[in-house]
Amino acid sequence: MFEKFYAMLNTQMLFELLRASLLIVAGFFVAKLASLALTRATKNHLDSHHSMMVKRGSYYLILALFLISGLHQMGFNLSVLLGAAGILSVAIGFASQTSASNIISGLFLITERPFTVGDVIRIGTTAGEVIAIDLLSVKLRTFDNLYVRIPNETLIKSEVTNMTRFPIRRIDLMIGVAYKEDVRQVRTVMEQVAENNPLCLEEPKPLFIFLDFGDSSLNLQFSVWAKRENFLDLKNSIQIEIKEAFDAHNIEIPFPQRSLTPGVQPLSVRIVGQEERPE
Amino acid sequence: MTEAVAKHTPSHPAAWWGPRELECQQTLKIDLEGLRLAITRHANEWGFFYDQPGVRSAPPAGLWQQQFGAVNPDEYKNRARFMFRNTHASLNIVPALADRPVISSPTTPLNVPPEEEVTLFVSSPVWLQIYSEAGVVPLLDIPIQRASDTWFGPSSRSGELCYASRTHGHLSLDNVPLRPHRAITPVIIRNRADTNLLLERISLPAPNLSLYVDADGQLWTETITLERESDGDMASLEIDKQPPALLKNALHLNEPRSRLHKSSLAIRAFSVLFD
Repeated sequence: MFEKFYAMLNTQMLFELLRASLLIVAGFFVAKLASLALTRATKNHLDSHHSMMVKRGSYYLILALFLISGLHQMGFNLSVLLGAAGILSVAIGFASQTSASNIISGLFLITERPFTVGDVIRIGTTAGEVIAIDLLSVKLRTFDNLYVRIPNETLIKSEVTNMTRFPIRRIDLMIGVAYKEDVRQVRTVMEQVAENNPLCLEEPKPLFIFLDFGDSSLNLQFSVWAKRENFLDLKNSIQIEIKEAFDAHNIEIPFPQRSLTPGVQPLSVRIVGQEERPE
Repeated sequence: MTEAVAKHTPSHPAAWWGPRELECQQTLKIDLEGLRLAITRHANEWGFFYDQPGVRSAPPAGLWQQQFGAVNPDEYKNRARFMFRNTHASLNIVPALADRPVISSPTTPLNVPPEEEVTLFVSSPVWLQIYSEAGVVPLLDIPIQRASDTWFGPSSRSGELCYASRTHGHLSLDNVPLRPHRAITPVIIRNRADTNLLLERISLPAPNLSLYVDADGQLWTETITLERESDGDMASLEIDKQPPALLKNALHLNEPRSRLHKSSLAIRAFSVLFD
């Protein structure tokens, strides 16, 4: 038995096996080094997301090439292997339809670039900062510090709002004032408030729209612009200042009101207090 | 750079800037055009308390005063504390220009016909910087009057955040009001294109300008020249290397916050300088 084993050791097969394993081990190192070098070379030209894609892509491509040539060295017939892989991939495709769809969606997302890592996006009711864009899903950190994983397929299918794409944002304030108020004066008061708030941009100018005659109030829209980072600060400060200015100018923000009419016959009102008063 | 400024700040009789000496536990209160500032020195700490006037509040023109006295920190909205191993007795107050470009809108839009040249005197807000004795980085760097933010650019998608400032666009120096919290920049505008140049807004590159003071204590910057090129799409900006020629005995007060790269001449898109 040992003789047979020694005989096998001397065979060509062992030599090829050794060569193949050397190739694969070398492949690991070459792939690692090449991907690192590529990442370094493209660091200044690509953002973090694309740089990560280059790194992973180059690593797996080089490794696959070395693996294929290693298998070839061992005498595997690659056309048979590829044929088997084809049949296998159909089976895997059926089994992992969702994953495949997510991967394809992920590729579309990468080429379309609707957002990058660090952007704040909103999908449906979920809003948060993008912390990773991966092959299958996008990871978000919501403002209440929760980790949310959104499949790429969902992102491709649904409406995504990128809240940090542009440097300035508009705040729309919906304000109702009483019917007795002078709308021109209300407009002047609000414009003065906007002018006095340093966070409110002078250009683009604040926008005033008389929306409609509401049930209980004259409905107005007052829109002001802020730098993206100051959005919440301005939203808070300007609403407080508008309320203060309205109070100072006696401008009423009415509650919902309903007028009741009694119909054909007037309602009879009887004061019971006097009748029941003891003698 | 800053150290040199700190040591050579001229003490003009009317100047609110210059070195200040404080003993331990002493407080200096400065009222400057609506800015209320209190500086307190402790053995290991400098404390600053301040209130800035609102964007549109009109401060008393040309007035400032200082006095030593007690401070009630609750009276001030903003406060900043700086820790040292040991505080030195002196601090230096230095005026500076804005840290972002200042957009000046003439109260009435001006037109410059083709091949014409005009000199406007445009004022911009001034910042107050406080340096410790050996400090290179200012401890405090605040606007004397908070200017409103504005957006300057071709669209809401691209542009630059700036400060907004109203200017009368005075053509004669005699009409320019002298105010200690504003710096005046002479702006030469040349129109080389064959259409009228409508000036609605001018972007003043405040972070690239130096600060000077004249014999009257008025703050100035270098003259800048904005030239609209003949094709109309581009404009060049040139910053003089000297204080304005019309100043007598101009003293250099502060360096620009950042220098224009390579040369003082910059060609920019027309929409970056004018609107």
